[in-house]
Order: sequence, then structure tokens, then C-alpha cells
Amino acid sequence: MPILGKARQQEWETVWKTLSGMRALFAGDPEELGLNTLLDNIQQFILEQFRKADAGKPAVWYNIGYGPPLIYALGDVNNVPLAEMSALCSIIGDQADTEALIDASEAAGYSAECCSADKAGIGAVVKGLYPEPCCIVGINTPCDSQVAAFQAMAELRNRVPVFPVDAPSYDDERTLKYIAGQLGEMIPFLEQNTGRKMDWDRLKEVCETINRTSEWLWQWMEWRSLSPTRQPSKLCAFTMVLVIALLGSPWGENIARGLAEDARNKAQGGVNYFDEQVRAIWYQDPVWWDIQLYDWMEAELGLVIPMDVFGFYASEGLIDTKSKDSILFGLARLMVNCGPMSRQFRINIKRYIDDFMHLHKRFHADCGIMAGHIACKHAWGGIGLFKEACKKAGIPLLVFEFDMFDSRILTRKELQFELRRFVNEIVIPQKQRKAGKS
Amino acid sequence: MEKTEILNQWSALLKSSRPESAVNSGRPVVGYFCSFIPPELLLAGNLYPLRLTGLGVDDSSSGDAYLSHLTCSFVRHVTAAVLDGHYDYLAGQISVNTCDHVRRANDVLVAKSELGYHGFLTIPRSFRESLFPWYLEELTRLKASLESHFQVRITDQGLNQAIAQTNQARERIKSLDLMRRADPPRLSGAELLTITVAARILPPWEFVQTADHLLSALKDSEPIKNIRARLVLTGGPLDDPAFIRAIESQGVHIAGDLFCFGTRGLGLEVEQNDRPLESLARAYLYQTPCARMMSEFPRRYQDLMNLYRDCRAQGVIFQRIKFCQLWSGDAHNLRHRFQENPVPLLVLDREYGTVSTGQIKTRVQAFLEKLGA
Amino acid sequence: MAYFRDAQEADLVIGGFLRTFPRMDPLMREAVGQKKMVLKLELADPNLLAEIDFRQFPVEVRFGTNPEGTIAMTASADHFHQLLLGILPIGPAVNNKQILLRGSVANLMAGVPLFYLAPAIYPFFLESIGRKDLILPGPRPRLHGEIRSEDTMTRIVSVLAFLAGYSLGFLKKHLAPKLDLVAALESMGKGLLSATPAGKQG
Repeated sequence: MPILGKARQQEWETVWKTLSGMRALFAGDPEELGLNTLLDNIQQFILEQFRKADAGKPAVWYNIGYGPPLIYALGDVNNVPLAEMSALCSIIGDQADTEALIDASEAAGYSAECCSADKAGIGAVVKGLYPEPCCIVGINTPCDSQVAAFQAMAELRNRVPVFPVDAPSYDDERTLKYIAGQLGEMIPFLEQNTGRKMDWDRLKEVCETINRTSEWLWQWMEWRSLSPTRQPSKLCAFTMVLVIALLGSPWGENIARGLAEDARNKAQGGVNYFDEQVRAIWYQDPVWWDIQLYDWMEAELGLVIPMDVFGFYASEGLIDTKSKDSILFGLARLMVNCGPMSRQFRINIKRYIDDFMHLHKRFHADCGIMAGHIACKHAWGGIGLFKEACKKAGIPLLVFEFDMFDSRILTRKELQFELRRFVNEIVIPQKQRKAGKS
Repeated sequence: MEKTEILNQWSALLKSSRPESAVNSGRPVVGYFCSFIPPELLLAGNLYPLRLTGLGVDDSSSGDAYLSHLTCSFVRHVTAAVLDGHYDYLAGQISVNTCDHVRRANDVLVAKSELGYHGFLTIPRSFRESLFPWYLEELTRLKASLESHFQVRITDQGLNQAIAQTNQARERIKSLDLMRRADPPRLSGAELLTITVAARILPPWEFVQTADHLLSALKDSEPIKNIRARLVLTGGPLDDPAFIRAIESQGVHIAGDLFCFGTRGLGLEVEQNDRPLESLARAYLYQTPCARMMSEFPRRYQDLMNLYRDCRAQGVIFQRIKFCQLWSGDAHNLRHRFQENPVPLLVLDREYGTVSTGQIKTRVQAFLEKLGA
Repeated sequence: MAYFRDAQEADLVIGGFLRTFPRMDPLMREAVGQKKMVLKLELADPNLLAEIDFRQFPVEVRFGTNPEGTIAMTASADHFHQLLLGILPIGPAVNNKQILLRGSVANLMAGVPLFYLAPAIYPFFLESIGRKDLILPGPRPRLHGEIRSEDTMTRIVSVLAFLAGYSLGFLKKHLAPKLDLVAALESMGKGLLSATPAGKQG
């Protein structure tokens, strides 16, 4: 299916056709405000990317931990997150394409051990699916795979200037000021390479958009904390997509508002289409190679995911737009303390564990599920301490190895077996025992 | 002393997690994980710096339990060594945000070990001059933390003295490296690694004393013959000479290296002046960058190519420990670069703690055949 | 409420409808965008397992097997019946977990148009097998949002097809109650095949 009247590479056309089909399909369900808003705005974003690419506008590539606000503030510059095709092909395209991109990156010599989000992204680079960059920016969060991916992007386009932001492993004002200083340094770099001047008024507007988006996300989380959580579990993880690709844009704000209003509508007047039995904090990467699994979890097991690590958006504060310094400070804090995974994994494992305990309590969860994306070394490296903490707190924790974009690591059947067993043989009996005691 | 005697002595040193010079030094021994920690800082505080390894530790179970089997086996071995008491003489440890694996090992050591002191540095990911003050400040804070905990004073004078001592050690290593690089060489790659690891275990003055004997003994020693190919070895941390021995058993000579624990990671020659901490910071930050440095692959590549040329090498072997994403990313970048500038490349993945001799020999043999050697 | 007494009845009705699909090839394959895939149906209460294999020409429908399928739908027989009638639009059915899906989203979306088409044909099929009682009354909600083709010819032909469909429906209602719509669609399919350059799809 052509995009803007032109034939595109097969992967893009599949995404576009699927997305168009999904929009038509779910538009027939006016109650599904959250999903429809998400699809609509993602489509608008993709359209805008193609419009800019067709018009020869400069493109900036970046890795997962970095966000687009500074790029949006430059005006008509294309922001291209490396992992864009990874997410699009799996969630609104053909999973076979995601796996083909992963294979393409490995065939080009990229390590099989790196994150599949980055592998598929590198595969997309190898296949020329992204508009060529005028420069590459990035950050070392949330993990080593980002450091490797940034360097791979830089190498594959080794005549293109690069600018990495260094995010230390501390959580203090000194660190945030250091990062803010680097964002300030990055501005002339972006100006020089995009040929666009930073418009501080526009950056202020972008920050104000972010602030509104943040408020909507915090509201959304409040509504999802209620039991039963009627908004589908499969919508839980999209904060990550928003933060990586859309934060500071009207599409991002629309998505956050749509999700919040949808969650509120369902909480206040929704229908229970299944019997909520178990609430779990899904504390690692979502299952994006088959997002329909969340429907199965709810329908067959009564297992609801009110929040997961991709969805959680910390309330670290709003961006103070009164000065350039305060703007950069706010953006720095947002990037490393609110960005999912960057927040949890950048410093010591205590933050990851503390956040889990907080979410467990706040979302009235019964258990935790650590779907261990195998490339997440920063998570797997903390597994012993995490398990100990859950045991001490009496929280059942399911841990298994899998891959969020590659269904060949743990199959659907195997995953269903793990979940079914955990829910039916561990969590529900424990709940019943507790209920019996009280 | 004869060459063999010295190398056997140092070889035994590597295999012990309780080096006598450390245990009996009478000074608090502080283990550290990474090349960005200047041992000079510790020496100046009358502390004993000990680069942590997992050599001589067969069982990594306790490390595996906390860190999972999906993380770096080097880090798991070191963690297990500390948790299981092999390093029970340590007064403390210092970690760096080298990589996710080391960061999590630090978390486990802080939570679970009996060590009295835990230091942590975060190092910039780029050589941008604007980031240098951060590293300097980190070292300044580390210095203050060491002074406070160990009740010592680290003066500029003490630092300059330590710098002089470690510069001497660097100079000896350079000389020994030249013996390894020579054609014909008088030291094998495995022997040189024994030397460079020993330099990270021993205090510099002890190392220099024995190194001088070795240099003297090498002048008259028999050169190594029957070399089929001269290769350069690069990649991630490697502290086990047995790995290089397996490679060299096929007639290869590792004429140069660019990996941590080898000749890389000792820091550049440190300038002695009235700002020794700043000198240290410059020497350690701007040394040949490791794969954690996000924008420095071009520099690392250039250093490798310079080494390749200077060693008159015929190929490159790249090794890394499984699950290391940083170095695996580097292998990809090298492969890409070698498409434009063809250099024969062999990539070997390995597990720390075991040397798959058979596999290595087979792969190296095949590589040599490809080289026509 | 159960529309089907037992598995045999479900097989006769739903299974019977699925068995008409090969006759309506290549229309059915056009509906799924020529996608070579296997759609697996897992119905319960009562049970019915079926596969529609779009890799074959004509489309092959098999029962009682248990392969993975490229895509799969799981539902109660009652919900599936409502889906075919158009009383339960597929979008809300998926969102409300009345239908569970499995498989790559692109393939699922390729299969969805079958359920835009089915409500136009299924009632006529029910009538033809003497099961008018299963044509449930009630509003037929919108099945999907606007699907606007960028191609002018598609838009023109769609209008003509609407007129043709209306004419057929009018004929059936007022003049020819025994009109076999499936036969008509089969002929349309043959016409489509004859007109294509290869003479044969797939």
C-alpha cells in the first residue's frame, strides 16, 4: 500500500497497510478511545516522517534512551529512533519482518546477544529503511546495548557526525546538571548539522506540551491503578513508544490524553468482559511479538497487567520553562529519571527494586512477572537481589527468559504454560490462603 | 634469575587469589575492577591496589546465583571469588560503570559481601574535552572517600611518587613488549600477558625489580622460532595466558595486543607536575579507549591499525567473553571497517574460566590456512 | 443462550458455511488480499475446529485437524455466529475479548475483511439450508470505520458493486426468493478468474 502516493519498501508498506486496516477495524468500536487515539496518532507521525523525508528534510537518528524534544524544537527535522521499525513491524506490521530484520543485522555481523530492539533497528539500517541521517545523537542509557547500537549506527554511517550524551550512574543534582550541560552542548551540534536554528520559544512550547503529556500520563496511571482495571493490559506499555518517538509533539500529547480518558471512561462506566482474578506488575519487556497474548491472559486466566516497566512514568516533576537552564535541566531529568528503563536501570539495582515495590503497592498487585528479555543484562544482573527482595516481601515472582521482539526464543505455547502455571498454582492459591486467614 | 624462573613465579602469582605480596603487605588491600581506576591514587594513600581477577577460582556458583548465567562470566567469577572468601583479605573494592555487568556486580558486592569499603566511579563515555572535569571530579571524590575511610592523606607529593613508580613499571612493560614485538621475538604473547597481569597484582617497585632481571635475562635468551604467522590480539578483558598459549600452540605469534589486562589499560605515561591528580585523570581517560566509549571506535580502530602495522602482523584475532555486548558491537564495527580496508580477522567468543583448547586450535588452524601461512 | 445444540449442529451450520468458501474462490482470496495463509478457527460450546487454507487453489477448508495456523481465532460458537451475522462487529469483539486472535498483526488484518464480507452472505446461506431461525434480529452496527481507497477506479467499481449487490438483494426479496447467492458469487468468481491474464489466481 503506497504511502503519500508512492511505493515504499515492503516493510513500510506492510506497516502502513496493517495500520490502515487496524484504524478502520477499531474505528468501528467507538468505546475504544485509547487504542484508536494511539493508532491514529502513530499514523500521523509516520505520515509526517515520510513527508519530511520526501521533501529532503534533515533526519537525526538516535538510540532508545534519547528522546526527541530537542529535535522537535528545531522545526522540520525528521526524528528517527533506531528501534522504530522493531516496534512498528511487531506491533502493527508483520512479525516475520521484525525477525527478518533481526536476522539481517546478525548476518551483517551484529551481535546476536544485543537487544533485539536494536538488532532489528540495525537490520533496518542495513536494509536502508530509514531516511539518511545528517547526524546521530544518543545516550548510554538504559544499557550496554545502547552503547553498542550507537556505535554500530555511527560505524554504518561513518562519515556522519555523532554526539553521545554521557549519563552517569548516580541520582543527584550534580548528575542532572552534568547531563543538562551536555544537552546544551548538543544544541550547536544539532544546529550545525541540520542547518536549523534552535528556536527557544518553540522549545518552550515543546516543553509545555511535554508537561501536559506528563499530567495526562499521571492521570492515566491513576485510573489504571483501580481494580478492576478495565482498560486492556495490552495498552499498558505504550508510554515507552511515546517517550522515545513522540514526547513533545502533539501526537504524544493526544495519545496520553486518549489513554487517560479511555482509562477513566472504562473505570467509571465500563463493562467487565472477563473476571479479574490476578493483578501482576509485568516488570520487564512486554510481549510485543504477539500483543494478542494480553487478551488471552485476561480472558483465560483473569490475569491483568495494570502497569509494567514500559508503562510506568515517574512523577519526577514538570519542566520549568522559565529559563534555558531550567529547560535543559528538566529535559535531562526527564530523559534519565522518567524514561522507562533508563530510570530503573541507570543507577544501582535498588531503584529497580524500589520502583517495583512501589508499583506493587500502588496498583494493588498480587505478584510480579519478570519477563526476562535475554539481552537485558542490567536486569538479569540484578535478578538475585530482586528475587530476594520479593521473597522477603512475600510477593510471588515469576521469572523466565524470553525476547520481546523475537518469538523464537520463547514460543507462545511456552509462555502460556509459564503464565498459566504461575497464576493457577502459585498466585491464586496464595490469594485464597490469605483470604481464608483474613 | 632466569627467564623461565621469573615467568613461572609470575604464573603462580596469577593463579592464586591470595598473592603473598598483597596479603602480607601490611597495607589495606583495595581491589578494583577497571582500567579507569588509577592505582597511583591508592598507592599514594599507602593502600595496596589489586586488579581483581577470577583466575584460580573454578566455581562461580554464587556469582551465577546473583547475576544469572546470562551475564559476563568474568564478572561472575570475580563476584564469586569475593563472596566465597577467596578475597577475604580485601579491605574494600572500587567499581566503575564500565558496563552493566560490573555495575550489577558492584550492587551484589555492596549488598552481600563483608567488604568494609565500596567505591564507585562513573567515567565519561566520550573523549569530549568538556567531559574531562567530570572524571577529574570523580577522582577527587574518590580520593576524599579513601582518605576518610582509611584515615590516610593522599598528598600531591605522594601522588607524584606513585606516578614515578608506575611510570617505571610502564616503561619496563614497554621494553618487554618490544621484546615480544621483535622479529624474531624473545617473548611469546602468552608470556607477555603473564607479565602485564602480574604488573596489575604487584606493587610497581616489586614488579620493576623483577622486570629488570627479566629484561636482563632476555638479552641472551633464545628467540622464538618456527612462527607461521604474526598476529595482533584485541578485544575485551583477557587475563588468562592459557588462552593465548592455545592460539600460539599452532605456530602463531601474538606480536601485539590491545586488550584490557594486556598492554592496553595501563594508562598513558603520566606527566609529573604540580597537579598530579589532573595528570592522572588525563592519562587514564585518554588512553586507548575501550568499547564502552561511545564515540571512540575510530580512535580504537586507528590504534589497532597502528599496532598492526608496527607489529608487521598478518591478521587480527578478536576475542571477547560471551554476553559482552560492548565488545561484540566492536567486532561488528571492525568487520564493517575491514570491508573497506581488508584485514584478515578471526573472531573468537569465549567463556571466562575455561579455555576450549580444541576449539581454539581448530579455528586458528583454519585461519592460518586462510592466510596461507 | 446457545444457538447450537451440539457439535453436529455447529458443523452443519457454521461448518456448512465455511464449506461454501471454495466455491467462492477467488473472491475469498481477494478478501484476504491474496495472502497465502491458514486461518484456524477454534470454536467452543459446542466445539468446532476448522482451517481455511488460502495457500491452496481453490481455498481448502478442513475440519477436526489441529495445526498451528498462520493466524487463529478462538471464540465461542455463539460469538462466532454473531460475528458472521454482523451483529457482533469484529473490532469490539476483539477489544472485549469475545474473540481471541493469534498471529502476526499483518496477517490478522489480512483475514479481517472476511468478516466484513460474511454478513452479506451468511444470512443467505442460513436461509438456503432452512435455518432462517438463526438469522437473529437486531441492529447491525457499523463493522468498521471508513476505508477510503486512494485509487479512483476502486472507488468507481465499489459504487457499481454496491448497485449490483442492491439489485441482487432486491431481486431476491421481491422477485426470486430462491435465488442462490452463493452460486451467484461463485459465478462472479469464475468471471474474475477468466478475466485475469493468467486465467487462474494463486
